[in-house]
Amino acid sequence: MEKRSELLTVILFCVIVGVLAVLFVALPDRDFSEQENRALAEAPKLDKESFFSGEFGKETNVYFADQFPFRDQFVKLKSATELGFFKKENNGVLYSYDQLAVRDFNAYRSRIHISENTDRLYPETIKAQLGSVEKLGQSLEIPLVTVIPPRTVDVADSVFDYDRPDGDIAFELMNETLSEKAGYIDTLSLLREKYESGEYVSYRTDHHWTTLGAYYVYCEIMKELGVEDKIIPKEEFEIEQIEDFSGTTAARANFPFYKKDVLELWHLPDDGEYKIIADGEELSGFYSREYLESSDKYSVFIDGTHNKTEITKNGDERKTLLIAKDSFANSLIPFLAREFDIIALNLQGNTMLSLAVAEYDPAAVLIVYNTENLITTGSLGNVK
Amino acid sequence: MVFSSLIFIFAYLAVTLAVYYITPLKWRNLVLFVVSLAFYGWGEPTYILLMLVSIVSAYAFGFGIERFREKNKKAAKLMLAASVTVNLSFLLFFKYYNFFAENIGFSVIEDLTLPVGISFYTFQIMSYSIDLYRGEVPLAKRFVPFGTYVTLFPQLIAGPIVRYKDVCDQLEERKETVSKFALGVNRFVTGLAKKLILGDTAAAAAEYLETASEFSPTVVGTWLVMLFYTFHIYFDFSGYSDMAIGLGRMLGFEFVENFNYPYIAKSITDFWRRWHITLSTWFREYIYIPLGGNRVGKLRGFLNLATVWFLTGFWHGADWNYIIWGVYFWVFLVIEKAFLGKLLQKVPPLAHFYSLIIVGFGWMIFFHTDLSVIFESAKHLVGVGAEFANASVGYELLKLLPFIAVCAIGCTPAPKLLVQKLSAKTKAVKAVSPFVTALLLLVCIAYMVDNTFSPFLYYIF
Repeated sequence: MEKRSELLTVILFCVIVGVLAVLFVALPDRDFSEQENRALAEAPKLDKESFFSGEFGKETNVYFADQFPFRDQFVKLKSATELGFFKKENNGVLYSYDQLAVRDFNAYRSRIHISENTDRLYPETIKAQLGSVEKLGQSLEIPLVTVIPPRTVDVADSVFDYDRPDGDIAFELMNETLSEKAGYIDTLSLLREKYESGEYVSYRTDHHWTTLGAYYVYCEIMKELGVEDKIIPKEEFEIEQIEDFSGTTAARANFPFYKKDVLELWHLPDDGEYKIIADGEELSGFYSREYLESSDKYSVFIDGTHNKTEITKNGDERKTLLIAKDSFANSLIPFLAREFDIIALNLQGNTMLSLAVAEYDPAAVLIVYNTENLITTGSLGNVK
Repeated sequence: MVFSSLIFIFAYLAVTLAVYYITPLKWRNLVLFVVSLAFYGWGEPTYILLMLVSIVSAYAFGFGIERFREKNKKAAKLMLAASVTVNLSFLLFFKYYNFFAENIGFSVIEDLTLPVGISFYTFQIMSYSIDLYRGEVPLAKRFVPFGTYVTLFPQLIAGPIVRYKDVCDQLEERKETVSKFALGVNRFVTGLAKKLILGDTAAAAAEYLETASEFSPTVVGTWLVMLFYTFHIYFDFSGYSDMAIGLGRMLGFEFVENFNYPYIAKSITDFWRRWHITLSTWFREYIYIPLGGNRVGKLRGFLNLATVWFLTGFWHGADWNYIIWGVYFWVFLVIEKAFLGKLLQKVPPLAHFYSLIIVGFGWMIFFHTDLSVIFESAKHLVGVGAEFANASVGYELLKLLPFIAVCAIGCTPAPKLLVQKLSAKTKAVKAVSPFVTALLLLVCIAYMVDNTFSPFLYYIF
């Protein structure tokens, strides 16, 4: 028995090491990992300089890890170990059960990953940034509407079995700092309430709100702009469902078990009448369907992030809405475009909004900039 | 190259083992010599030369020492001095030049990098020269086995510090068996898991908590930092020793043990009998005892001990904090010798607690070259200038509690005893053991594969 067990140990070790080593050499390199949504390292070039500086050695290590046989499975095995062993987190993503889908692991963006500085929230800097928004609201002669989308951890707070260290501080600051003039819409309360009542407003595997979540926010924006009567009822849309959507959070965490999301595209009969120009190029419609085949499915909404996106409706003279935004607005814009001509600017890099107002002469300005960005970037503080 | 990398296991080790075992017995040392040089040269090829010069000089002076040892003590001593001087001067220059230059006011050499493992292989080489002079080992007549001894990749860069007298017979004749290889595999995989799953995670936790406590220091947070440094260094270093011993066995060698559950020690004296045993042995054999040890009167004895601990600290790194770290232990060893040791024996639980705290705070000194940080941490540990806890720390503590429990148990002999007990009862343990090892290896591979993972961050736009 003793001997057999020893022999088996040796054989298993040699087989694992040998087979994987051979497969590493034999299998062709992959350029891209769909699961992690990123380019994989190529074989480093060997030359005298890189060898002697040790650079070649380092690059070879990365190459080995990226092109390792069964990489995706190993990555999952690691996060399974992390979960099963001791941690409720991998690569900064928390997991929890969701009442909507008991027994499935669900990934949520974490706020406690050090490399992104989301672990710490500085009330002073958040206040200062919100102050800039408030000042803009005071100085503009047209209405300003401010939407600061909450993160999934904020919306689905109740499903996590431990406290978020900073609670709702960021949202309390928004309520305190932003007055009527800034047109602040409390999307946290809105979405949290919907979430608690069992509605599917946040993706489990991606950090964005769902199309339904975006629809509710659209309704609030319409109310804020005084066109409540123009809200298109939910029932009028024809809803197309895209199954098997797995987004950013899942890619980060690589949890072995989770329920994928359903991404919805909401259609109306007049979809074809809109002209959408993204950075000078005309799009085929609100939805760029080629992204549905890729791992970056969320970019299906108005072709993902562009510096400037313009939308008009053929033959209609309409008011213009200027939107300074991040990617959360992408799924919101198809709703708003039914009522307004849209000029959408990527807020990072376009913070001089009073100049943009002078240039495009909109009827109102909408800011959509999510809480994660509020905490980790300073961009909102630069709006003028 | 480090053991816990894919390239080591799947390129280097795979090729090395294959070549080693298809090579006829008498060429195997040469194979080891060559592959070990390649192992060493992978990161810094230029320093191979330095190591070769050290080896050749010790080898050559060995003949001189052997020749004069019986007839002309003085000449033999001179040969020994020459050999040791050559070796030590490399170590002194590469490791300590900048430290001295900085403290004296000389100009510092900017791109002087420390040759990997020089502290370890220099000590190994010196053990040969000194033991040869003492007549405790036979002369290394052939170059290849001696070169193999120094460069042997399992212990080359981080120990254990294998003395020539412990392996010289094995260099000439060793038996590679299935049983030894299997033991080696188990040991290697255990070490790998200790380092990757426990050590690296503890390191990340320590770093994370330390950064957090820079902003808002708490008593609990600082204790946690200390705890995770304590886990980190043990699982990292003892894991590495396990891997070295395991690899040695796969090649037919038996190395001496380097750790013996140091965190169950009941005094500092006890701790240093269990921690990095081969280093303590080296200092005792080649510094402390030659100085006269403790047979030279109380005062001289304490002074000898002080020398040893100053050197032990300084050996770990060329900076003041390492010196302070060494002297710090000297102070406790002296106190224990004077009276505390006897008291501690009467209250074992307290003695254990005391040892852990002293050792733990030692790691705070060890990990911080900035002395002001050490001072600040000491204050925070006892609640000066820090609140007791806050929400973030409470959250981290809760999250890490299961991990802390696993680490704490992992530091004790309990897991090993459990396996022994079970295998005495049932044969099933033996039957599943190969599969457990294989599974653990796969998990370790998963940790190595996911190490470089950093996702494409498109979400911020």
